[in-house]
Amino acid sequence: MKADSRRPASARAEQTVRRLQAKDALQLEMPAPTAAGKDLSGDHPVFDLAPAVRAGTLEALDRGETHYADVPGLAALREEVSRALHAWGLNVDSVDGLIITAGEQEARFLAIHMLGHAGYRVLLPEVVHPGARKTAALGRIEAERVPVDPSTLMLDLEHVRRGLAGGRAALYLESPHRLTGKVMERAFIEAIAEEVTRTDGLVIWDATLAPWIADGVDYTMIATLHGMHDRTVTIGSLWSGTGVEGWLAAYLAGPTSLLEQGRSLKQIIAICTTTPVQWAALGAVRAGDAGQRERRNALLEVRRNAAAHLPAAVLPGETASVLAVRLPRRVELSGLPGRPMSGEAFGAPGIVRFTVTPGGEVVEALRSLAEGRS
Amino acid sequence: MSRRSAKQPAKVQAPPTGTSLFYSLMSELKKYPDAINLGRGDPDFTTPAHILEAVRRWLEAPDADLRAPGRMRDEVLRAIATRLREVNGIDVDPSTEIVLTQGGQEALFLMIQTVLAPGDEIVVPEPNYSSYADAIAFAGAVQVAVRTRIDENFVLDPDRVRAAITPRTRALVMVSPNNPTAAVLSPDRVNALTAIAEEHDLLILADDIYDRFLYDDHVHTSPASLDGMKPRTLTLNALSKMYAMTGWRTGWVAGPAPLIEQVGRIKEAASGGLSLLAMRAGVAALTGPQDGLYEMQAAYGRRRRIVMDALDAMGLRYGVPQGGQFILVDIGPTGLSSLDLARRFLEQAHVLVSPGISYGEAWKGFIRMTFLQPEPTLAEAMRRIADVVTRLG
Repeated sequence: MKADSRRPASARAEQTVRRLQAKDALQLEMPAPTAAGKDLSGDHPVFDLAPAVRAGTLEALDRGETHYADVPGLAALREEVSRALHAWGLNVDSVDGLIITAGEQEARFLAIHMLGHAGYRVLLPEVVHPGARKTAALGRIEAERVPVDPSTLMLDLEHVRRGLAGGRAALYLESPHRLTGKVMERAFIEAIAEEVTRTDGLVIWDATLAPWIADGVDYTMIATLHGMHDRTVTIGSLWSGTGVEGWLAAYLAGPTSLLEQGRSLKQIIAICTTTPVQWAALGAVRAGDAGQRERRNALLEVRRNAAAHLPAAVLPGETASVLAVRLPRRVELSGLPGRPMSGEAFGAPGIVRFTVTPGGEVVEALRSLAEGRS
Repeated sequence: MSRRSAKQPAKVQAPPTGTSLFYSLMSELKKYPDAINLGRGDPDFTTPAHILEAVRRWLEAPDADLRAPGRMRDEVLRAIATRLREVNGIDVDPSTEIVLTQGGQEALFLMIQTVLAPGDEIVVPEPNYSSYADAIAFAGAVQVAVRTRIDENFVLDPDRVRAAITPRTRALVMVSPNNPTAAVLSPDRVNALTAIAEEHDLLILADDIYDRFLYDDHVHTSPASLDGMKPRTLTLNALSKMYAMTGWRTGWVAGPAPLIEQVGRIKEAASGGLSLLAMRAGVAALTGPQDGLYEMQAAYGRRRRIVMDALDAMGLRYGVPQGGQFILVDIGPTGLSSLDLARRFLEQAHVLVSPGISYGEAWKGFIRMTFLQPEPTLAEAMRRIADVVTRLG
């Protein structure tokens, strides 16, 4: 019984496709989770698999840990993640205040939808990771865009204030910024926190790139500010620099009052995150930050060398793993060395983002760009 | 803990759903050391050894690329396409007509979000797996339930489907073998239902997740394998039940390329990609020896008999499982609602069953039991349940 390809396609199917194609945000290009070889468009550089990750996975297989895990994740992993986040000043209840997700996009989905479906307007910066706009195109949530400063691509307080003014809003923030790697300054975060509290709002805080912030840079998580713990859900990945970025493990942390709906949504979309991956992540988290400073410094060196070729075009950022460049002229993206991620998907046409990888390919890419070879 | 803000933000609370109702019972199960779980659909078998060995070898291979999906994605897509052709009779292009998902659960969610928008209607056989209602509610659409009946062994009736269709109906769900009823749609019944879908230009969402578990002479027919049906059909499946791989979260949606492209967009929006580790296990499961699957098929057949014999002895009516891993039981003679009886089984027999109320108000007179426990454990569970039923008089 083979399908007959001569039969006309269903009009209903065609109508369904057209309906979805009309949702621009849903059609946005997404970066791959990892940058591979000479393709520098992925969200994260990857290093060799950490021995602790490999060991954690193999031991789990030996024990037969291949069935469903609890919806919010393995209890042991949540405890370790909670401990690790404590080092950043975050107090997270490992029982009800954490959900282990299948990568950062799922964390973003849960965060945006658990608040959006509870009636919060979701305020997305005009320039933001495409995954945020894309997920906001699903379901029945109300998403609004908040203008950014065109030169820095960062939010300014006045526009944040206006966005929050309508009440019952969840403000989506990235620090470090997912396009440029720019870290928000503490004074600015404090001012936002004050506005959020005053308007009884909430914050979704993307801290995914935090492990790549250069040493000595002051980094504040908004959830650590007075009164903000109960108003913030934080997302991040597990565990940068350990080689598991392509295995897709991340977390969503927040007050139990907010995460209940997140657990329900997680059950609806996936039941649980891949169990052996959670054991792998546990190995990584238990290994702690071993070697991360060296990896970070190595990437920072690569980033500096690359930026030196086009100093005026590189956007400011303190994060080792990404480098954003304002293109000096209109060029075809596919012709650019390193095949960077287009800023257009982030809401910033004319900008491209290169992943800074340990192989140093970005140096050659920027040299080539500077010499007009592309 | 940080200090609380003066103005406390509102609590974001999950509404009670069939799914959450069941999970609240399951959390109570942990209180009993001798508990037997006949509620959750998680096979007791371990993932076949050759699959674990393949993943192990891959992790230890010096030249394996453990970091980026590239080649592994192509391999698993090809393996799925082969499976769809050989088992289901569906020809697909692996590069454009399959989306990888986190198990059948995400596949179901993505299919629903693809075809439904707020206000749309979808015809779903009832009772049904409660995640259908959750996914439909997320889309803001309306589930139009078509009741199946125990005296028809819960097989979906085409006339009732036809009567449920309105101008707002966009799709029809076909689940065979069914969860929770274990009814199988015969080839004639699949033909009749797909004809209705064609007549009303409905999309078909085919849930084939139990297609390898069939009893007696029943056969599985994939709607997309029928002449002309592929352009309007999305088919989901997963390795969870087939290979006792529930924790790996490896599944897929297959269908015509234009629709699948949009399923993929929604997948990107929901969770991005699929874990490389899940892909590797998937390749091993689909391309390796199938002995583990055959052993499970035989075991489920024996277990089904144990459960049916025990229920016969208790004088309880049920739908004869034609496939799947479940049995849906009419508990009317006990005089209790499904939630009360499930609680009583839990507290007095330390056995968890799924209360029918989690499938909707109309099903409060039923319970669902799985046969996903070893034969001695299953026999013990049925003995304990029988004691409770006997005490009820």
